[in-house]
Amino acid sequence: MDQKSLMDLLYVAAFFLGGLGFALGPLILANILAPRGTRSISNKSKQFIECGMEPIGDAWIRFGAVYYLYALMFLAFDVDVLFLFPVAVAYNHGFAAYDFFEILLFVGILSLAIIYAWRKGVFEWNRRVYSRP
Amino acid sequence: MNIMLFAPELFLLLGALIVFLLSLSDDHNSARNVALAAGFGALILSASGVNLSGMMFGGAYSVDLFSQLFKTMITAGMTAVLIFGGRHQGIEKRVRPEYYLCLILSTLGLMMLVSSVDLVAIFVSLELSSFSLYLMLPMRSTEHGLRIQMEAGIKYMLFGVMATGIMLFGMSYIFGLTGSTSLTAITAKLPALIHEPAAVVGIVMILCVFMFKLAIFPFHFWVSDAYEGGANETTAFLATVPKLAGVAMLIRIVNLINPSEAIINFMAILAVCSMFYGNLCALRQTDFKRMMGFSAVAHAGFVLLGILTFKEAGYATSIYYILGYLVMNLACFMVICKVSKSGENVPIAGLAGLYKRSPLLAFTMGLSMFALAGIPPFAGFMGEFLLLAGAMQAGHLTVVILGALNAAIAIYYYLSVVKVTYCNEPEVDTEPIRVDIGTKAVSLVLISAIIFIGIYPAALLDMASTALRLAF
Amino acid sequence: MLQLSANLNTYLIMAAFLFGIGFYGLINRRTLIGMLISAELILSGASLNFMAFNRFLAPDPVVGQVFTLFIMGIAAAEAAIALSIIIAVYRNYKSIAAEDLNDLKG
Repeated sequence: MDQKSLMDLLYVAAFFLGGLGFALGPLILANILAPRGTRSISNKSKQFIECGMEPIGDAWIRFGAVYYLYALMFLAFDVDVLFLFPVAVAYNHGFAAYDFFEILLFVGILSLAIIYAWRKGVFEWNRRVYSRP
Repeated sequence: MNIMLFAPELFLLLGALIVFLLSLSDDHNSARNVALAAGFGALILSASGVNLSGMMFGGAYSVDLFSQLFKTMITAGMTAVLIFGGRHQGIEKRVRPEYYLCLILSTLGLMMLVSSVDLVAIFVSLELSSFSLYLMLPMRSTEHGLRIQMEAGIKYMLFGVMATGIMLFGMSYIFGLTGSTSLTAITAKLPALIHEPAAVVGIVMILCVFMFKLAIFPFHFWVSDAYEGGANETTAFLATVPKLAGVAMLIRIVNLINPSEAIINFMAILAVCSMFYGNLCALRQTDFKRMMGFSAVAHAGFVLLGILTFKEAGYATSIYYILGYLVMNLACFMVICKVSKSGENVPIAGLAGLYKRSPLLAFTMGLSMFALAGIPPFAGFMGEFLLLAGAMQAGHLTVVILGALNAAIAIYYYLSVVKVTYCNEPEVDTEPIRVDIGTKAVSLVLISAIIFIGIYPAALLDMASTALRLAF
Repeated sequence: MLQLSANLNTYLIMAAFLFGIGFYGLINRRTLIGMLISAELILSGASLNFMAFNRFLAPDPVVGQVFTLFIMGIAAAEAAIALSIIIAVYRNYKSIAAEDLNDLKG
């Protein structure tokens, strides 16, 4: 195995570790930072949810999906990532200011949607209906 | 790349960006002014650039007389809708800036559509315009406990998505057969492949989506519901501007193939079915917008008469006819927008005594109804006459007879509107309607256009023929 | 090792099948969500067709892939718009069954 392909493999491994860090990091952090042994979570290991209030009634109820707007935004955005894949193929001739500007324009226009949702209060978590049609 | 070629679209895009920023702060009055300015600017830019020509974006975007003529008509239609929409009372107050944004983007999509000469470009610009339209329908105000706009919106959307899916499937066959998505390359390769059933199926499937836009017979289900459910201003846009792009694209796609007996017969049957279905259903409607929906189906059948001749003269007549149709429909929807006090639907009986409440509006309504009914010397008569004459020359005698019969049926329901407007006494509302200066100007322009288009068809037909010759 | 069929017809039949299911579903499903899913099936049928033609026939193997990317992007936008209109319908009608939407006699 020559030097170059070894380097490529190292890159892949580095990205893999980075991704793993993103996935596991929050879990580890939560584990470190979470309060233990407080009144609300001790002696509750038999319950379905081991913290918070005593469960009341059945889980099969209709609940307010406050976060459906998040879901809608996610739906639109996770597919837009698709358009960034061809970028890696098309702009493969080193760094060019013009190409950078093009990508910036594309991503900038996409992020307008986030600004809009932000201004309209989609990201505020309170149980009320945001937009009554 | 010459930036002037793309100037009208860029100007609209700039307007859309500003309206978007205004929508963040709920300032709907200045949003309307910006939208109006964008429409005017784009109208002036496309009218002044009518003789430009060139290719852009790697051959996917063709600017020529054909596309520029359509762009001028599209921007003119949008500007007129914005002016007589006034403060857009039928639209939910909270989302008015977004409404203007969708209106601009839809117009932008249609302008890009008429210039597109690549399957990908056609698909993307078509979807830009349709998605904005889908969103505009449910934005109608719920003040009076109205909820039909939601139903109309989802019905329109689902039918639209189905039509798009069919078009994509057809495009995939054409792509598979020719190995290219550029219309020029397809034109070069397709005649040799016409014996393949997949080619014919593919083209017919692509035509479906534009027939959907025009509401030709098997794709007409959405039209009456969307017209009735949409706000008056939305319907005025929906009924006029997308039809222009529909005709332009029908001509572009039909031009790809050589006529075969099967396709001509297929289109003739669709044309006759649309006319009969539209006219017979329109006879028994009481809601004005719903009646206009069915009348749109009938008129789409007439447009198809010009296209099924597969000749330049026939296409030119279709363009001429759809221009007349744009003007006539804008005129009558303008009256509806003004008669409706707070954005509610107007039954035909609600027009009673309009001549006392506002002579100008009554005259506009009467004139556009006369024109739509095909009474000389107005725009509708000349268009129908030329279309029927063209189809006669191409030897479709049965179709011509049935078409003439339909023109006679249509007179009944159009003229009954005129009768209500002029002969009946007002029942509930008797106070005069105030008409603002912008609307007055638009109505004068529309009235003179209806008369001018009817009297001087030759100049317009010549221009359309030249455009077709340059484009294809 | 999984061996996929290297035959164009397999994919074309598969795509036509998807299209058929989608079309049938759009006409026959009772709920708006079901109709939306059917519409997505039609679009994926078209995407599959593009990719198959692209793999086996096309001289330039990029065009079909780009087209498919666009179809996927626009299908997502369409789903977002349709879902938001469906939510608006639900708030007004308290139902998303197609047969309950009968204020307009289309």
